[in-house]
Amino acid sequence: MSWWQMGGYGWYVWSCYGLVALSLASAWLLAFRRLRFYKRGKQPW
Amino acid sequence: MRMWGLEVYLSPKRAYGLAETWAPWLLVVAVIALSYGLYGALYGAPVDYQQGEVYRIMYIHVPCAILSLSLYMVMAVASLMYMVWKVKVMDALCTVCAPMGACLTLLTLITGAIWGKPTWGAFWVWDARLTSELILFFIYCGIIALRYGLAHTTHQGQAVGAVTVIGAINIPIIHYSVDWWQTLHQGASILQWSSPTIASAMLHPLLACILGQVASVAYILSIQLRAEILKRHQKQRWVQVLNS
Repeated sequence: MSWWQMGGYGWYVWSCYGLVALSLASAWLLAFRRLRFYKRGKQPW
Repeated sequence: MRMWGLEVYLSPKRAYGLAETWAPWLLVVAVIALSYGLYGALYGAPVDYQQGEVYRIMYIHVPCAILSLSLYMVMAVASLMYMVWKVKVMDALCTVCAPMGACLTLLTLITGAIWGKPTWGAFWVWDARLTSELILFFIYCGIIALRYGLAHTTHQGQAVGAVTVIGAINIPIIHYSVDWWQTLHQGASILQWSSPTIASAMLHPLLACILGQVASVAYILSIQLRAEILKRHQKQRWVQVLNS
C-alpha cells in the first residue's frame, strides 16, 4: 500500500488536513482582501 | 481609569504598528514550525500500535482544539479590559477573534468526528467533551450574532463583552470534562500537571504543529486586526495619511 493511502485511512486523514488547510487559506485571503481595501480608504464589499 | 501606563501601547495607532511589525515574524515561525511538524505528522512519526495511521488526524485536531479554547480566553480577557478600562483596541480584537474561534471550534468538531468514525465506530456521541465543545461553538455563534444585532447601538461592546466573560465558564468545563465525567474521549495527554504521556517521536511533531498553527492563526488575526482598526478609525488623521 502506498504512503498516501495511510494504511487504508487515507480518506479520513487527508480530508481533515485538506479542510483545515482550505479554511486557513480562505481566512487569510479574506483578511488580506479586507486590509487591502481599507488601506485604500474603500469598503471591501 | 489608569492602566499603569499600558494605555500608551494600546492606542489604535500603536496596536496597528505592533500588528504590522509582528506579522512577518509570525509568518516565519509558522512556515518553519509547520514544515517540521507536518513532515513528522504525515511521514516521520511512527504508526500507532492501536489506531494505525488514522491517529495522524491528531496533529491537526489537537492544535484546532487548543486554539478554539485559547482564542476564547483571549476574548474574555480582552472583553474585561474593554469593560473596565475602555481600551477600544480590545473590542476590535474581540471582533476579529470571534469568527476565527468559531471556525476553529467547527474544525475541531469536524476533524474529531472524522477521527471518531474509524476509532469509536460513530461520527458523533453525546460525550461530555464533545457536547461542551459544541456548546462553545454555539457561544461563539451567539457572540457574533449579538455583535451584528447590536451593530448600531452605543452599548454594543459592553453587551458583547459581558456575554463573552460569562461564557468563559465553559472553558474549564471543556478542559476538565474528561476528568469530571466518564467519557469516550481520551484524557489530557499534553496539558496536564505531570509530564506528557505521548512518546517523544510523536510528541515533537505535535508540539511543532501546535506552534505552527498558533503562529498561522496569529498571523491571520494580525491582518484582520489591522483591517478592523482602519475601519473603525477611518476619519483619524494617521489613517488618512496611511491611505494617501
